[in-house]
Amino acid sequence: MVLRLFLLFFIFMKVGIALGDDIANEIITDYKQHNYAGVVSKFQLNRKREIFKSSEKILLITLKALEVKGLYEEAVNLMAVYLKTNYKKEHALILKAIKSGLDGKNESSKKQSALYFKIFWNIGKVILSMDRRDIKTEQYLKHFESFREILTFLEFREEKVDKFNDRVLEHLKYLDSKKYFLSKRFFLEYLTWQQKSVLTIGGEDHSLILTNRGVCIGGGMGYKNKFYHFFLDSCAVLAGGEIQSQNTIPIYQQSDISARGIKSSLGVGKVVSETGSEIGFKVPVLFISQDLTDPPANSLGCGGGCSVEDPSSFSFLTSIYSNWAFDNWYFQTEFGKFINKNDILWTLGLGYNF
Amino acid sequence: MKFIFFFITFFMSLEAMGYANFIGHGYPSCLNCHFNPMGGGQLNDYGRAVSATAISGRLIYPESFNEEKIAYMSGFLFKKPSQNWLRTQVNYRGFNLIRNPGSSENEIKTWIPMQRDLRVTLKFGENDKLIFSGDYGKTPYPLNGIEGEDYDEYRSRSHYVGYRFTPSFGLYAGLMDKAYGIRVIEHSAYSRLLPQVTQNDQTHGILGHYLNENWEIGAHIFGGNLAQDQELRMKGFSSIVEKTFLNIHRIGFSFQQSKNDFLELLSYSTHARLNVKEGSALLAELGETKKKTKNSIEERTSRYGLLQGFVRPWRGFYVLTNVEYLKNDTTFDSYNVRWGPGIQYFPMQRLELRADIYNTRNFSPGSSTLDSWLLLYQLHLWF
Repeated sequence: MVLRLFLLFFIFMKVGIALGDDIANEIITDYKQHNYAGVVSKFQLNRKREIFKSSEKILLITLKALEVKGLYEEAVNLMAVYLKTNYKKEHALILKAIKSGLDGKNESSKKQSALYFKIFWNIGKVILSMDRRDIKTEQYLKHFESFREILTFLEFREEKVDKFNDRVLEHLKYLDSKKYFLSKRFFLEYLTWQQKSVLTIGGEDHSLILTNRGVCIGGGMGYKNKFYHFFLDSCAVLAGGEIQSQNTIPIYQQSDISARGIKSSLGVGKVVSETGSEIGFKVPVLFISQDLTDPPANSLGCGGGCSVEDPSSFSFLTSIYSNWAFDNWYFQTEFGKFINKNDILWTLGLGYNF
Repeated sequence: MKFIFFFITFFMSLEAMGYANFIGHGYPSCLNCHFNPMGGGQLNDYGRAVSATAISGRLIYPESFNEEKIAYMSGFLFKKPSQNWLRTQVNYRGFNLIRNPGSSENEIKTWIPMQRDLRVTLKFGENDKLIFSGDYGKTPYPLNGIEGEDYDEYRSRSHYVGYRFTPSFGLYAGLMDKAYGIRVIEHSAYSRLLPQVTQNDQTHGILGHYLNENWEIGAHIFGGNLAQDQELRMKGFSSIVEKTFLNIHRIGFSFQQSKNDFLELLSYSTHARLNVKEGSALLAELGETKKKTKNSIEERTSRYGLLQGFVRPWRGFYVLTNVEYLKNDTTFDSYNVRWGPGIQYFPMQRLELRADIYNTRNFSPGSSTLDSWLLLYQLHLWF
């Protein structure tokens, strides 16, 4: 019985080795023909085979193919298994040496050190391929730091390790800066705008120019990261204006005309400095209540009836804004044009980001 | 008549000067990049390298060109000069001035070749202790020139000798811009027109310049431009003091008192230059001028303000906001504000493209007038 079992085991083992040899040959052939997809596909179908755990040549070929195809996670897994299978004891000794603070220059073979470097490199590549920072990033970062520590301990390719480490950390910084957070602010603006109106005398229209100035107090909310800011802001307008005929005749003039209302804007900005300064576009809506007085009926030329058109209550604008940030405080300017009109609005403001 | 000429040329605006907003790149003092310690005029070697690397874009350079190589090519002949005593620079600046843009009836377009000059500096000693610097070039015909009147076609706007006794202190003598206020590039800025520190207001005199970590001081005694008739030369004194605060910003004030046979001028201002980092900056100046004619027929105090913001979304490209305030006579309530966005693009060193819109609005009790508009396109080349 024992003999039969031994024979059976022997046969299975031989068949296994033969199968392993076949795959190894196919992989080598694919590699020689630069058929990296073929190498990867054979690895993925046979990843549990012994050949990937024991043959250094097959490991390096498969690794190269996985790297070419950008499959860094699989490359890391492959090498981790290889390390565990072939260098378990040596690896444990190195970890122990690091803990005890010994000099590590001669603690590992060149091959083992090269393997560590490959793992470190591929983990870094995995992190570099991520476009957001999450739990998975943190797990890989932990391993990345461990292998960097081992390589530093072994004093292996130090310059390359440092350079690549900086690159990965830079990428993590970039991922952090992409995260959006809620922005809230309060601001006070000086604003001025000009609008046209019409004086009708006896059925004939005459152009009037209305120049307003005042302040706008309000706040805004939005989402912001280190690159962009999307927001909505709104403020209460307390202003007054002067109106006058564009031409010298007929004479029409009114002063201190109260203007009350709201200015609300949707905007998008590009953040241009580490302090949070921005430049961008807004689409403001201006709702203003402002009443103009009709000339008295006994005014010169008003015998046939005179009337003044109130400026439109709702106006839509497009504007560009610039924002200079100093810590939480910022200074902002805005230059806007009324849509379908040649009228202009400017603002000059001071604000605080919460 | 020459007085009229000088008055007219005030309104022609724009000539190459130092860019005060480069404090946003971490350069608070003009001496870093210019031979003239108060800014403007010829760039020194470091200034050329900075303009090639930190300021300008990399439009024409392949990826393989590193910043060191670009800096190396920033010299007059696209390479590092083989000698250490002579530096040259050639400038061209022209712009298209469009008044009332878009108006079918009133639009007026004018191309003005504002600047065509050659600059030469001889420098000797350790850290260029001794310099002889000057320029000579063709000036544009005055925008509102009087027909039949002769105007100087060629002139020098600066020629001076300078000696730095220590890295902190230097004396400069010759024809230079007055030490006063923020030297913004816009010669039509109220902050330059009113105190008479614009493009043709250079004066012969002696300038003392002091610089340390926290302070920069310029004191200027002048006797007027010797190319002018004796009675027109504005003689006097000006000074600018700047203090660094919070390590990266500057705050300062300026003073000027000068007179000729017709006019007495007193001006003073306070200013700030704020570094918003990564090339972005905010400049502000607020000042007053008191002008009195010699026979006391007219005495007027004017107030001006300047707010100029620069935002740099990417290297070589700046978005400007220009806000200027002018109260021509402080005894009246009326004032006007000139407001406008602009863009400034340095695609590569030696090339600057710029476009500005100016919208001017008058504020006067009991009056409302239509805004006026001005559009400027500008090309600046320097070698």
